[in-house]
Amino acid sequence: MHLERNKQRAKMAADSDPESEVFEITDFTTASEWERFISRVEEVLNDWKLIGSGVGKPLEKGELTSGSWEEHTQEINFADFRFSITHHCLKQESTENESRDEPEEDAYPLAMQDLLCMNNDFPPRAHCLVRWFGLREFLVIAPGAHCEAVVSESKCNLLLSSVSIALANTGCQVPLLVQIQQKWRKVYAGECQGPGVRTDFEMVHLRKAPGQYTHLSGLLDIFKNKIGCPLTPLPPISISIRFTFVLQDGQQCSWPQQPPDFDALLAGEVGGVEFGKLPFGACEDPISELHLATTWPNLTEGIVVDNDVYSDLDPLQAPHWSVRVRKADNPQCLLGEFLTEFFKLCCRKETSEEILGRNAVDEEGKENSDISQALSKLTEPTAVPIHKLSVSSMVHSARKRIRRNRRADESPINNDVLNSILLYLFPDAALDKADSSEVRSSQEPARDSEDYHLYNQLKSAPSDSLTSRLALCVCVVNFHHGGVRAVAHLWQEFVLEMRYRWENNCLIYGLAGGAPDLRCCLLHQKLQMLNCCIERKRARDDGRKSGASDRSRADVSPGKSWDSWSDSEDEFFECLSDTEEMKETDSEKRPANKSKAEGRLQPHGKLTLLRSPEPLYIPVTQEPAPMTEDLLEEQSEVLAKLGTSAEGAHLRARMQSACLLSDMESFKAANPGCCLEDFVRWYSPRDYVEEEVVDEAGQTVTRGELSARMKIPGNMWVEAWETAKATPARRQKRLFDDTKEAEKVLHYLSQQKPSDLTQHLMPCVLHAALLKIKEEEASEDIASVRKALQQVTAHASKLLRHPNPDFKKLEDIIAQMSAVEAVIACSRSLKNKFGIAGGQREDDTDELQRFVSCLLEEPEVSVIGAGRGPAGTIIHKLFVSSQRLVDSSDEAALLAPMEDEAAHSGGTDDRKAVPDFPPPAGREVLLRTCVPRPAPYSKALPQRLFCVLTRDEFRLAGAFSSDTCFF
Amino acid sequence: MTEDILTTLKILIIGESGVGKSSLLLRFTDDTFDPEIGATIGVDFKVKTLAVDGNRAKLAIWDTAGQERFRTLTPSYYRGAQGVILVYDVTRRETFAKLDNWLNELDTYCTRNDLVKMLVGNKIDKEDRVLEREEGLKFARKHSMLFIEASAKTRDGVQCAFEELVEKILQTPGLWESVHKTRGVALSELPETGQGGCGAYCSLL
Repeated sequence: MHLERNKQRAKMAADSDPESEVFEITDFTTASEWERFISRVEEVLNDWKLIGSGVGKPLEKGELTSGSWEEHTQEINFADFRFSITHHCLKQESTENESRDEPEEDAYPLAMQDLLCMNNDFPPRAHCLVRWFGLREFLVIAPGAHCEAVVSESKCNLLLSSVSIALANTGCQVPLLVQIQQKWRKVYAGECQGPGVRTDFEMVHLRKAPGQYTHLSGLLDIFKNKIGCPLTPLPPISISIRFTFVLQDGQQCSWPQQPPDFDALLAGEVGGVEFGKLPFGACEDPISELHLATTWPNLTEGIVVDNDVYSDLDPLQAPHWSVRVRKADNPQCLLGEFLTEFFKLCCRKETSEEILGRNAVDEEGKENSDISQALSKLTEPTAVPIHKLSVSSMVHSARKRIRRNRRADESPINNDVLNSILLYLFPDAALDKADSSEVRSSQEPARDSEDYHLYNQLKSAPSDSLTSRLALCVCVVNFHHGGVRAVAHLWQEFVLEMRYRWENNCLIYGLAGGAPDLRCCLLHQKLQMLNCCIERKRARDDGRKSGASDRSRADVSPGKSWDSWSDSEDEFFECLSDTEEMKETDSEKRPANKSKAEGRLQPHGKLTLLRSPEPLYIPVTQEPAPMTEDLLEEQSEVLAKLGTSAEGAHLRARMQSACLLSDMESFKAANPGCCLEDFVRWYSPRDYVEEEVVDEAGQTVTRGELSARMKIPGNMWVEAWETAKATPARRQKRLFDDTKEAEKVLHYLSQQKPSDLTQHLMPCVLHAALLKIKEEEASEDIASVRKALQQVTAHASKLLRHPNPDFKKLEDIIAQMSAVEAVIACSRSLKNKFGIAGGQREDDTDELQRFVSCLLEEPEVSVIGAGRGPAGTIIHKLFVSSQRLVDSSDEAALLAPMEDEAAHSGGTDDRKAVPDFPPPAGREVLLRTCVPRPAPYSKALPQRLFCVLTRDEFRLAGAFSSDTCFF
Repeated sequence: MTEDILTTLKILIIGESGVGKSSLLLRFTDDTFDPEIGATIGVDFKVKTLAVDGNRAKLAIWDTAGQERFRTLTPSYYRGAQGVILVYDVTRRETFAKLDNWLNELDTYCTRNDLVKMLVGNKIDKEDRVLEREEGLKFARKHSMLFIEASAKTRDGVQCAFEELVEKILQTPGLWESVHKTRGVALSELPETGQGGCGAYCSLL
């Protein structure tokens, strides 16, 4: 052990025991912070099992980028100064089963071998240390977060010597580097130790390259100087060079997509149709830069000349080209912006009233303030002459009502726009005289269609439904026509229209019929509910009318006998008078065939009543009440609250027996003289048990009776049967009070703030956005987009089924969608640049297509055929035209004040030729060799210098190995 | 009250009239059997706490009427259920033949497509069995359901059926939520695409 201060005290056993002659004490009490730090480093190296020599195959081409890297980090203190030590390691499957300490004598550490490996020069994406030194495994000690940088030379040296000691003590062969200087400078130093060898990693970092080192010959001088090789001739130095050129785009090829002009769209007659579409694409070129890297992979000194006066390095002649694109940081993408703006509405707290001002909603407010009054007004059977009212006239009169309250110039949305929106939302209004039931085209999408799955997943609404269209309109109106005020305005108009339709028995267009679809969003359910109410109300009104016309007609249907229509049925609709009740009970006691049957639907097979030869009729029954999910929730809560006791269960059954009772009453009315057994045979056939028995006369007859459970005295069925009066469905108390329910819905709608509305419609908007992206993607065919779409859909599905989706996560989803949009926009931009959009040259199209899709998915793509391939030719042209543009604009700027002179020269073409490429934005030079160091008789060891020259950085990263045995 | 309860689960019991849905439930909740239990009207409701693998789950079990006419009413209660027990009577083939209809109805009215379905063949104590275990097993396999035969009368399989169902639900990620968790779902499962970590990953420019 290195830091033990072993004080051996030989304590002779003075008197007896010869075995305990040496007594050793190890004393750590005086160990310094520095020693402790070193021992901690060693501990970590041991913990991570980094001791001994690693064995690995030579690196494959590009493996440092394509492979996956592992990282472990641990905190480690030097006194109270915190460092973090991180182990970076390329995961290589083959090495996993081979142990680290295979006794291979004299093998250099892996890192040293990697210094010379040519397969991974200039990796497209890698840790900078990997880029500079070609390492596949290394350790970094860096100051912890929020700790100041190690700047002073003595501190740096202290750290470096700690590293040196720790490596020597443990025998770890993984390079260990220390980050010194300010973090952003990325300056590292460190070393790697092997048996009898050592590599020092050193670095120079300057803001500006000294003039003599801006070219290959200068850099070679530095390298040679540094390795200080005494041999002549010097072993050959391998040189790899890469120049990177930047093509700043946007200045030359005009971006094809312009932001759509919504005002223009709306001006035309067909403008309304455009409301159904979400915008898509980027308004500016989403590709901001194209980087071309021209590489000369393996040169030797003397083959090329590159000094301060002349250079052989013509990018066009470089044997290897590769390209990467830089995407605009925040490209303005239309769909994403739409969604984001829409999402922002969720956070507005104001009510429509606060936004639009009191007056605007005054009338509505009055209407809503007293529902009971509205109720009584509406429950009166007012005969509305529907046929005379065309739908369009209704919409118009509703609109007029609003306009009375608000001068046109105060309205957030101007009239033309509003008109087209309403026409888009309620296309039935345009069809004069049309029966709205015929134009209700909205069908539930086929079960296996994509849309079906999507609305089911997202809990939105079918994509052509009114709800979806409303969502799109709110989105557009919010973005283009005045934000939250316009949204409040539109919503107000919408609610008014809903009320108008209810009051005028006019079905709402664009909703699937039937009970509310619980798979859709609540708003959609509410609208469906309103439609149910309108439908019921209409049926009632129609029934009244047809009843009246029936009376005038002579034909008698078998189910509805002429007599069955009471002359005064309207008066009896809601409830029966006492005298009527008396009569009914009387009639039941009378012989069956004499009382009149009412409300028959059809005979029930061939069954006849048990106590009379009359056929058993299925009655016309009341439909059960449709429910929206919030009502349902309420009701199940009520039912659940009754508890699980016997009384609770009984009460629950009683509460739900309204439907049963109603059916029994209808049944009794349709089947005079029937008994409970008859009812059960229709309603619950399993509870009527038939047996074949032999009677006294020796004949087999079937005898039936109620099942045991129906015979329990006082059970609910018997109880209900006994209280049920013979009343046909249409004279019973309504199970579903459409008037009350409709008013509830309308009230609910009018109470929704713009932010509530946004939340209701969010699933529909996301649904439409997903469909839009899918549609756009179909023409691009990008694998990563398809995958991302699946993920977003799954993510959104999970979130939106939740009753109160997390806003933050909604925002994430929108961000993900915008990202997908940006990728598609990039793809289009690239296709445009590389001329695939037109598709004229057939030979190259495939190759270019592949090239473009690689550019989207990979960090860097090599250009087949370099400057001479099809892609290379296009890139070359792009640079040339960009250069001309820059040049001419420079010239123009220069010549501007002396325009006359320019005119004099007559435009002669004697100005010096514009180079095809701009000066390289970055130059990287990699020098490698294997020479004995430090003495001529030392082992020949790998030496490497990586030089980076950019406009504001000059960096030399060197790894110099030396023999530690023979020097 | 909900101190040591992991979650509350909504379970449904459906199937043809007279197959013993209410009896199964009564056996499970009260451990009794009443041959003359009244025909259910609409839906009924019972609660029981069950411990599975050391997790206590509160079950809200909705028992439904099997009669055709009630079928316009009961499906509204399917909403939000995490598990469903579909019961048939092993002595009556027609109750087995109708199972497809019930599954269709479930698909139509259930709000979540990942709910756990269990098929229970009831009344195995009876001697006039016409449906062999194999048939039930085959049906369950075809529709990816759990399957068990039971008898509410002799209590065979009843407890086990409910336990299996709850265990399966608890094992299904995303199907239930802990009562202690505030409203919200699991963190994003989208994998991070960047290299992460060091922050020093870079290209030249």
